[in-house]
Amino acid sequence: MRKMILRRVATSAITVVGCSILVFVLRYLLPGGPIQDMLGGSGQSGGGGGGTVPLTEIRALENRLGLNHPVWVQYWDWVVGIFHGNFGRSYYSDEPVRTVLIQRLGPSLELIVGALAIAVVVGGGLGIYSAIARERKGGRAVLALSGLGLSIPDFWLATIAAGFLGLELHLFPPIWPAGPDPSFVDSIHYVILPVLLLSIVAGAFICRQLHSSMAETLRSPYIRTAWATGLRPRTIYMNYALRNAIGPVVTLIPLAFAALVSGTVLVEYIFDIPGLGSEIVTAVINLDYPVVQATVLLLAIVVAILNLLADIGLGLLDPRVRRGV
Amino acid sequence: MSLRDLLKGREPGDPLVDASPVQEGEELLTVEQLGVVFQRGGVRTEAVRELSLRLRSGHVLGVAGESGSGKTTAGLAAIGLLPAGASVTGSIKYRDQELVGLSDKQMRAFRGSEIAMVFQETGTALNPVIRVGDQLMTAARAHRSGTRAQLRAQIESALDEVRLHDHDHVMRSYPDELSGGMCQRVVIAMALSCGSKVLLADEPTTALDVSVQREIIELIGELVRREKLAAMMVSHDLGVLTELCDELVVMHMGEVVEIGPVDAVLGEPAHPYTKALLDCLPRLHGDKVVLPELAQYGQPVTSEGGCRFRHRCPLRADLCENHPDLMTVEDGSHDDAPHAARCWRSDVLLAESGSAARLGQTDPSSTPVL
Repeated sequence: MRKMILRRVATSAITVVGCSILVFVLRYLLPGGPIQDMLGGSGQSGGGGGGTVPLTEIRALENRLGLNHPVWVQYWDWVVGIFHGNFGRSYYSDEPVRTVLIQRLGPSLELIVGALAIAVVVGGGLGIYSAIARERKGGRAVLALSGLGLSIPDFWLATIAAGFLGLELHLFPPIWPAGPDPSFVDSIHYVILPVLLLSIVAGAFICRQLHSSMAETLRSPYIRTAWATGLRPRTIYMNYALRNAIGPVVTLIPLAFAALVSGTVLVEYIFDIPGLGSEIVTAVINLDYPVVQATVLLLAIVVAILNLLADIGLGLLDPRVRRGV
Repeated sequence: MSLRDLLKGREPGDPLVDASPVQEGEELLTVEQLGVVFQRGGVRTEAVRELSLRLRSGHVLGVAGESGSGKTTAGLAAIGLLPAGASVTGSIKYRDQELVGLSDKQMRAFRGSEIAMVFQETGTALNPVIRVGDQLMTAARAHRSGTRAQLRAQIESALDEVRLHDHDHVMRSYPDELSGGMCQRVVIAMALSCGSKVLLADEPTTALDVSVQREIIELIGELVRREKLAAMMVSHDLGVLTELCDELVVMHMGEVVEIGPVDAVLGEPAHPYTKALLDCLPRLHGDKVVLPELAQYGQPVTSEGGCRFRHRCPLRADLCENHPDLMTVEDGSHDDAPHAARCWRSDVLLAESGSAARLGQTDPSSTPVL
């Protein structure tokens, strides 16, 4: 088990390093650059000599931002900075990236963690139920509903929900309050509807996955042996079957997390929530590279950690994984 | 101290269960006119028809037949584990308690603790993610009261019965760390530790090596005699059945086509299907192994009348358009286990084998390789 964990930690580290390189190099593959934007110029590429802005001014700014160094030096400085907790400064607002991220992290975390929790608990529960009751009406209905949940376009549902439940019925606030951010407790009020919307797709996904792996497990010979031994149904379903069926679903949770992150972009936009999702869109539009890079790297690290945890969880659940069979 | 003694003082779990000690030769499981019909998507399949069997303590009943002859279905019916969409008629009695029609909850008092079933799968019969010891303990807990230590003692003595003496190793292992034969022993030990008196073994050796097969067969035979179990052994291996069983049932398309003492049934088959099964055994002719073939199933026979074997039968006559009952064969076998066959033409068959016997056909090269 320890060997397996070490191996997985090593591969996760490689993944994160690879991500950081990719994210850093990407800016050189994109046309244009921040310099023109910052100087208000409408010039072509930075290398082209810069339209209406004097070259000396461009050079001075490049110097200040460290863009005059070779790429690998810039990368190295960036990585060293990160280890010191310094993600650089936003090209756009000139605030430290860390401050920007911390401000924006709260609402997004509420959305993602809330939606993931609901998706796992409710979606997973319904998946188990629909597998146990797969020959009955209730099970079939749940399965059909989960199919519906997967196929409803979330942008459509979010817009309808914000308009109808929010503006028409006033059940939920349709939009984030103006002014200073609400406290955590107050903010729950504002994220309930977005969280529910986000959890539908992820929950339907988990429900269907758990349904199929549970239904398959329930057909296996050892479950028949368990019935023939006269064990109680609850023991058979919750202990004997679920322990086998839950493995494939555990490894899907990081995937669901990643899907939720992209889901927040949309939901934060519709509900005007100042979270990471809307920040990353703004940053990309503003060509605010330090913010984009830091956000993407942060997400990559979180997904890598979740993957690692999922693999460890799988090892705890299944002795064959643990022994590397 | 035998396992049975150790298990005395068990509390009567369910009032339905007769917990009195088993007498040698007592009839534990009685199946009368059992019928199982699967109804799925408008298709009606008669998997078992008019099946009557008796399992007696200390005896092994063999059940032979091809795949699809209803052997497994009959076993599953006895523990109430038929899939949804199956309807059961007739009667299955465990020590005078009718099992057909019991609720699932009521059946649970019999499953595992009175009637145990051992399946064909060896590697996957036990839960792959739970330690063998925990699975044994869960099973014991479901049927017995007592402290953990008491239950463990019962489990260990059951493991001794199946000759798995390294208790700690076996109980700490996961099923995939044990061999197929050991897994099958664990399943049998589970039945013993729960106090089962009827053992339904559904081709328990099919997936095992030949040498391991022999060990399991010997083990079952030994347990039946020592623990006074009543066993049903389903197999298509006539060699295994000859060795282990007292009485033999041959099934074909859900029906018993022949029943009687093993020696009588296999020595003087009174049904052409039994004869065909025997002929299918490889025979040595000099250095050549000849494998005769039995004609494949014809079109699936529905509820139309007539003998169900007639489409494959070499002895088919006009008479066979009427469905035959099981008819006693006069060959001098005992009254308590009469030899009977579901065939109009068994006299022809018996006359053939009888004349063969009279001619003293002792050529050793033509004896079946069992």
